[in-house]
Amino acid sequence: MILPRLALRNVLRQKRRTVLTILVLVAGYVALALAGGFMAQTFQALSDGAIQGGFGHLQILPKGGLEADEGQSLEHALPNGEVLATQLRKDPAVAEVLPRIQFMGLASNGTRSVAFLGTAVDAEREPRFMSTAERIASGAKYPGGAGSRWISHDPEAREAVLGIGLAKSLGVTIGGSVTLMSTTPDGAMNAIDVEVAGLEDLGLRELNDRSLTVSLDTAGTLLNAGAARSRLSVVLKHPEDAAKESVRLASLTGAEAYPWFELASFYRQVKLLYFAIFGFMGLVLALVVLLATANTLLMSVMERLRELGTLRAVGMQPRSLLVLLQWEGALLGIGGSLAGLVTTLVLRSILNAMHIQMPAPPGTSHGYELNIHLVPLVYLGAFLGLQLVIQVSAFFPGLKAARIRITEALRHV
Amino acid sequence: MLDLQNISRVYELGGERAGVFDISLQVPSGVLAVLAGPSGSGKTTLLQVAGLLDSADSGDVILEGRNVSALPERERCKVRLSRLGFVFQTFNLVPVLSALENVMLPLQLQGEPEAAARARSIHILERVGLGDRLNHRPGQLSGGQQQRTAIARALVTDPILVLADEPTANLDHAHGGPLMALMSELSRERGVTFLAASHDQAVISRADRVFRLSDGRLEAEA
Repeated sequence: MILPRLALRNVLRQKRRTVLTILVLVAGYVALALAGGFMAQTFQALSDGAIQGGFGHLQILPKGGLEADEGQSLEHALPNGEVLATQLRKDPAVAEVLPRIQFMGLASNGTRSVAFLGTAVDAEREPRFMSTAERIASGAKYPGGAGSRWISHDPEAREAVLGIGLAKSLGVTIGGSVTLMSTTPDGAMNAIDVEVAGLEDLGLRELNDRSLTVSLDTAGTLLNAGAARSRLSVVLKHPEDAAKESVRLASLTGAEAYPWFELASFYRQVKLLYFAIFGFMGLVLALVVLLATANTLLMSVMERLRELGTLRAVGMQPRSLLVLLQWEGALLGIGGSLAGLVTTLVLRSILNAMHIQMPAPPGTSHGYELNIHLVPLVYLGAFLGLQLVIQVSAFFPGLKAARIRITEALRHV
Repeated sequence: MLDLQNISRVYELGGERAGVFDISLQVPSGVLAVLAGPSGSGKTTLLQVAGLLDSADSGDVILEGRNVSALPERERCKVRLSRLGFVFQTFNLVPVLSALENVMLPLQLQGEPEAAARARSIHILERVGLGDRLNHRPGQLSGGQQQRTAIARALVTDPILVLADEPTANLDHAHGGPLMALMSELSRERGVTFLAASHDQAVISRADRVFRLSDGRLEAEA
């Protein structure tokens, strides 16, 4: 126990220098922990958006359905998708199955036609799991969106929810009528009139300009779809099992199944971007911490040369001096991380209480409120990361101490 | 007990050759021996070679009949820790440790349990008259008290040889005399050999054996 005790006394010897070093460590810890909390908030929001935006926890598609381009509607579909959905709802791991038809066509107001990307959903089941209410509520705030509501469950109702950009292009408002034109699986053109029940804001301008949502009954009439479905969005009882359940359900159904994070390319891209940005920031921080700690410990070694020479003279092994410096670094790191943890928690509370509105991320149409998450794993990671950097930075002063010539060190004043 | 055979250790100092040249001497067990001579005569150099703090360019250091001069540094550390003790001119106590902790240090490096190390250290500190200064740090002790602490640290591991480099040089006569008396007493009492480097006549007068050095050579032995 002599080395830790000696290290503690040495760290406390030059209090001002130790405090300055710990302040650098606190700054590093706070930056890493707050950035980690901010990233966690962003990733959570993006994953919620992807899952509740339509992907579910996993999706079941026909073989080759992910890469295939459709020349006409339902060309690559699950021919008995609705039947399969009914069977899967009985699976113990499955909470709900939401069948979808994806189709393209033209929407017309009589004088102007605009291409759309349509999604047909189960009008009754969809709002229970997906973020339809939020999208409608957001869409209601736009011009012509007053009275916006979700499409009716009535199989005879012919209604649609339009993206705010598409509604604007067509010049239609709630209660207005739009004609939808598309091709049936056998290549014939078909058209139906639908009433605009609501407007939705999907958060991405490109989607708002093209998106349109109808019920499966409406799409069934337009496309002559029968029981065919483009894909099934599956909501799991245990979302964390998405990858494992994808494999199992693919095997069970003979179709392809993908967890949401493999399908949500935007989520993956943002995650990669954030890792690149914050990873670079982390490297710069690590370099600052490394230089600051190495400088402190090296100065400490140079000031104690005669003392270190004495320790060697009385019989301390060179490697023990290396360990002594590692202990000194470790104590600085623990002190810095503890102070950093307290500072992070205080700053996090203050920042979250300020209700700061963040600007809209690239490609999205609205901002969000800053809410830095408390992620214990990030705090632990910041501690371990800093500790690793400090131990590395303590190595070189330790090597210097271990390699001193005793006779020269004893002469040092 | 200590046999130095043809020791040479040469270094450049101000463009001239300095150090010790072909010195041979024997120090018997349980005596207070002194390397005497003026500054630059090679006393400290020879003491450092004898204490395995430095390596000779040529010659052998025989300790208890064993040639220790060619040992690797790891083994030299073990010899210094278990068989040798050191007292320095400037005391060289660890300033962040108390007198007691300074004395306990070599025992703890040997791996002795804390309670046993504490008991042995208190005993030796009481023996050198510092029983009431156990928890004082070096900065709170006088020069004489610091040097007595250093002697306690040198003796606590029961070494066979204590090497003292100008032990009274930083002390006034009021402290230097009693310190040498203490070393002489301890040498007889514990059977420890003391080899001191000094030009202080008060130290030389107490020695059982005196080796006079001049310009790096052994000039006389008495």
